[in-house]
Order: sequence, then C-alpha cells, then structure tokens
Amino acid sequence: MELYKEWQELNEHLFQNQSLKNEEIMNAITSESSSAINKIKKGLKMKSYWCLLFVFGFTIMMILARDNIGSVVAIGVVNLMYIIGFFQINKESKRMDSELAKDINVLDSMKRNARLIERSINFERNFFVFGAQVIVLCTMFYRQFGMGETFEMLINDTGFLTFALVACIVSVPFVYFVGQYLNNKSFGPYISELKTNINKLEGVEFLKNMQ
Amino acid sequence: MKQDSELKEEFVKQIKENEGIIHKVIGLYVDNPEDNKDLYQEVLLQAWKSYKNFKGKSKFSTWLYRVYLNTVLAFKRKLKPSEELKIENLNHETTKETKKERYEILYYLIKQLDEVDRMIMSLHLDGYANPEIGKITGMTNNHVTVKIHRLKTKIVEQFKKATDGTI
Repeated sequence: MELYKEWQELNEHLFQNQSLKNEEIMNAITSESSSAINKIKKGLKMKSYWCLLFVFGFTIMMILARDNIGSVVAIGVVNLMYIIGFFQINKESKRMDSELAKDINVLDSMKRNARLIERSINFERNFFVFGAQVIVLCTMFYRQFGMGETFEMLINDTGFLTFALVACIVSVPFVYFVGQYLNNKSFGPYISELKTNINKLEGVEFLKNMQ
Repeated sequence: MKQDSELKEEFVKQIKENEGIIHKVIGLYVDNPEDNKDLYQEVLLQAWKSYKNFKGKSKFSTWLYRVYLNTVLAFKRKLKPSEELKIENLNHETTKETKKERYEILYYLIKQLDEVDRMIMSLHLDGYANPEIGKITGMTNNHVTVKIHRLKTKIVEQFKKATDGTI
C-alpha cells in the first residue's frame, strides 16, 4: 500500500534529520509545566497563600478587638473558615500529584484529568459558596458588636435576623453563579474539549455517526 | 536503584534515539513555532516525570508514544488554532510532481483529521497492530479496526484527489 511507503519516506525525510541537543532536553525537563492540571495547582497554591494572609490579618484584628468578646468570636469564625480553607486547598493540591500516574492508556488518563479538574473546580465553588455565607453573617454581627450590641440583643432583633436571612438568600445564588462563571471562563473550553475527546475514544461519537 | 544523574543520562539517550516520534507527533498537532516549542517542552517534561515508572514491559518507543499522546490530548493547554487545511487548496500542479510533496500531502491530510483520528492514523501508519493501538488509546479492538478502515478510505480518496489519482 502506497500510504505506508509515503509515511516511511515522510519519517526519513522530514523527521530523521532533526536533531535534539542534550541541553535542549535537559532544559525541557527542568522547565515548568504548562498543563491545565499544573495551572489549577498553581491557582490553588496562590489561593492557599491568600488564605494564610487573611488568617494573619484576622488574627491581628482579633488581638486588637480582644476587649469585645462578641467581635473576637465573629472574627474568629471567619478566621477559622480561612484556616480550614488553607488546609483543604493544600490537601486537594497534594492529592492531584498522587493521582497523576502515567502508566495507563490515553483514555484513562483523560478521564482521570477530567475528574481531577472537575473535582477541584466543584470543591472551590462549594467552599466559596459556604464560606461566603459565614463571612456575610460574621461581618454583620461584627459591625453590630462594634456599635455596642450584644449577641442576645441581635438574635432577638427580628429586623436584624430578617436582614441577615435575606442577605444570605440573595448572596447564595450570586456567589454560586459568579464562581461558576469564573471557572467556566478559565477551564470550560478545556473541559468540554477533553470530554469530546473522551467520547470519541469511547466510541460514543462514533456510534452516533453510525446511526 | 538508579541515581538521578544516571537516569537522566539514560533518558536523554533514549529520547535521542526516538526523537523522530516527538517531532512527528508534535508536528501533527501544532503549527506555529511558539506552540511547537511549548508543546515540545511539555512533552519532554511529562516523559521525564513518568520515566521512573517505565518498567521496560513494552518497547521504549511505544511507551513514549503513549506519554506523548497523553500529553497532547489530555494535557493540552489552549493552543492557537492552526490554519485550516483544505484538500481543494493544495496546488495540484506543484504537488503531483515531486516525491517530497507527495508525503507532505499525506502529512497534511492526517493533520486535517480531528485530534483522536490523527492519533489513531499515525499509530497505524507507524506499524502498530490494532490490539496495540487499542491498548495505547484505551479503545476496543473492534472500534479501532472499524475506525482505521474508515480513516484509510477517506485518506486514500483525498490523496487521490490531491495527486490526480496517482496512488
């Protein structure tokens, strides 16, 4: 068959004469990965540093507000959210490394990558939604504590509770959609391309074409 | 247990022996020099990262192919779209004359296929048997067989068009 002959000649003429230098290979293996997984990992790392910065800031605020126990508790809860966030993000980032085995076929590898990316994105979004509610509530309480009100007074204040409830109800979908939008913007095209290729390898697209 | 420097030396040697595969696979997926360089670095980096797991159960070239394809398909970042190639746009007068252009036409035709089909066709033309292609890609043997048959028919037809039936 002529095609094989042409392919052989293609190999001989176009690719056998190109020569890689040792230094080029060494430079490549010490370079930084530009893969989507690495991009997510870098993003997670940056977020964990931000968490640490906020923990530091809130701890200072707690020290400064030590005379007002209500304020200390309100800031403390937010601080705790950031501490949990820091550990969870680190855990997620480490898990990504341990799951990236390469001695599997292309289809498995693509499925694994899609799973890792989706899990990481969902984790971030859910944590963002939950964390945002806690932060909204604590900020409201903190503000009122600063005005001299006590916890007992606030939980008996129907106006305040209604306002807090409305703020939470309004912010849940808002935060959810903002998170979803940002994630889709960053990784949406990559994930959909990955899924299309998975379907093609699994024969799903192929079977559709057969029908 | 091999030392890191020994491993590196061995890796470099193996890569140099099989570098044709790298250029060919990368060339099938990207066109512009910037993306080519990025993908080339990524592919070598991923190959090095997984080299420690290479147990020698398969040929190095087969293993390397799998790592390259994993990288190109599963790790691909957003690359600049390549210029659309159409068989009608190939210059018949110049393409049919020389042998060099005949294999270039074949290369362009394979580049026209979608990502997955490109991978299957290049594996097939490199002499991998269908069950082996199935193992590398994760596809079933039947699926590979039917796919290759369809792709070959399509490519032969287009090749004939581009070379005025001289195949």
